[in-house]
Amino acid sequence: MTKYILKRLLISILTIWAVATVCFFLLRLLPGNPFILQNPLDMKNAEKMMAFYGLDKPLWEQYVSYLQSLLRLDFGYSLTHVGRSVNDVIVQYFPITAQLGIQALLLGMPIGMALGIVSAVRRGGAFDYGCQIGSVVSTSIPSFVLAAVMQLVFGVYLKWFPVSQWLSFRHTILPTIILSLGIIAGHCRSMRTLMLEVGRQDYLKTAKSKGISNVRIVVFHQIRNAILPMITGLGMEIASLLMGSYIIEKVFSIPGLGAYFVTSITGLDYTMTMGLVVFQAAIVVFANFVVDLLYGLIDPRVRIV
Amino acid sequence: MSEHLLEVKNLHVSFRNVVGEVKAVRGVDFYLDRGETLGLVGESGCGKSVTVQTVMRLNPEPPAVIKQGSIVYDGVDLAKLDDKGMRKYRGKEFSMIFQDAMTSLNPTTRIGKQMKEMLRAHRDISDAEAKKIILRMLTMVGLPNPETIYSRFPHTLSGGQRQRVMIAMAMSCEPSILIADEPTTALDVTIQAQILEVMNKLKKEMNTSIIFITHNMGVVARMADRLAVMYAGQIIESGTAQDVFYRPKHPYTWGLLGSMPSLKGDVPERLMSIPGTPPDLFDPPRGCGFASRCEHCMNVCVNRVPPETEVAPGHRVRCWLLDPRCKTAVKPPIGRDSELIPGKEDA
Repeated sequence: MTKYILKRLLISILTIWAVATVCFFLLRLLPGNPFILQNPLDMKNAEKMMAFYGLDKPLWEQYVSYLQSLLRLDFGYSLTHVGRSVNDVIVQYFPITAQLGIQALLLGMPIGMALGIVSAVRRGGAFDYGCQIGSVVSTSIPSFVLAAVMQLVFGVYLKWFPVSQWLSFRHTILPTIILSLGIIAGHCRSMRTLMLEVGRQDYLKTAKSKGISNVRIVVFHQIRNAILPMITGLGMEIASLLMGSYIIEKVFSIPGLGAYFVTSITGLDYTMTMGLVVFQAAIVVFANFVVDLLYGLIDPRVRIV
Repeated sequence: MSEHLLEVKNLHVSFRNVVGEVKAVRGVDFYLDRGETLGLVGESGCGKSVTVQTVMRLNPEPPAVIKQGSIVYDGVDLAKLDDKGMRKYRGKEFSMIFQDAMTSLNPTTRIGKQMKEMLRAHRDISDAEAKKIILRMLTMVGLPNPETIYSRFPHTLSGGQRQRVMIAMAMSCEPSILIADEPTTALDVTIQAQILEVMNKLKKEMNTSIIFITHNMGVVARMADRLAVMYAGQIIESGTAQDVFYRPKHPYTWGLLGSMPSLKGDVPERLMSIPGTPPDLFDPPRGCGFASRCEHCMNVCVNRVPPETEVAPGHRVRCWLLDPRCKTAVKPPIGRDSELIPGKEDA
């Protein structure tokens, strides 16, 4: 077990390093430089600024020094937000984005899975059709349309929730619901499919032949086995949700990381882009690592002793 | 009413779908006495599995529907019970082992827990008592160190071991009827023989009756006291194993027996095979199901379902060749005493 964990950790670090390297060189392939973009006529100052941030040095030297600071978990200073370090930005805004993502997942996953289970058990019934239609509709409506409609209905007319901003828990409810709709739809559909798939397995017939109650068959035999593949996808899902939804943050004026991601790329803010990409890569790798360890606890076939 | 342990009468089972219904079982009669083994043979898709799974009501309903008929066990017509009523029969009175032992056990649950679940559903016993019974059963089916097997997961066992576990589980509540749906088809030949031996041993010790489904005539010869041959959803010939093996009367049975390789001297050049395919049960033929493939087919065979003829006590055959009005004499190509069919040719 220890050996496995160490091996996975090493692979994780290598993955993050590879992402950092590829991203570093790709960014430098982009034409232009960040300071000229800010003020196209001021070449002289731009060169000064380049020298100040060490961007005039040979590329390999910059790369080595970047890796060195990465080892100290220092993502460096933003090139466009003067005086702010990337670490500052992450520490300040990541919790907001993460809160939104986690709330949406905690709300959406159980509901989606429960709907999927009930649809599968009552296959072909009205509930099943309702869920199917509901999930197609909710995945095909763009989230910004839905967000705008809900802001209008619940924020402006009914005044149940604030229209935008991120100040209290009440402010988080609308964006959480909208972000979770997609999660509900996805989980409902895949859980239903998996339940039906397991329902066709021989061991379910064995379970029925034992004379145990239907509830027991569904809970202990069907759900238990249907849930396994869901967990595999969970790592990626958590990772993508932790990085939030740029669109929803924008519509609700939520000060999350999403906006920084977009503006840093268009503004050629090398350090900010790099920092956020490496940070996201680390989250993806870590989430998958944890999921793989948990998977062994749930599925004896992949358990590592 | 009847002195038989289980009596199935005129059972019709269909599977409904959007366009209509597949008449999978079309009027099956059979009975089973205490302590005997009934072999149910026939090719894939002839309705053997559907028939026995209907006895335990394991087919999902819908799409399966029992159109008519009765399944009388212990004075109760199981065909009329609801799912809840069936539950106390499943596992306790009837239990089942399946073809593919590799996939018949829940992969995420330990063997002991899977077996215990069934015991405790039917008997009011403590955890420790259940474990004792399970360990005894695992020993009885010939598994070494039952203690370790008890806490293992199915994927750590071989196919033969899993089938032994299935048998141990199926027999743990001491059912009166064990239904074995091709239990050895997925196993290799040496393991097959061992599994059959275990089943026969437990059957004697517990005085259980067995319904044994197979398409392997060699296997059924080792196991069955009586045989029922199924074709296109009907039992076309039934009788004692001797009757069916040595004095087969139905052309389909001849084909089935002829297609079995023999280890004795007179090996034919080629094994016999029956040309054609079974009829589509979505739209079953009006007459005999076998008519289109039968080389002795007559006009009447196509148009009318053959009645059941009792050629010897307990030996029943559904074939127009045995009708007294039939003038054709056919010599069966198979069987020990190759006598002319029909016997009453001069009638």
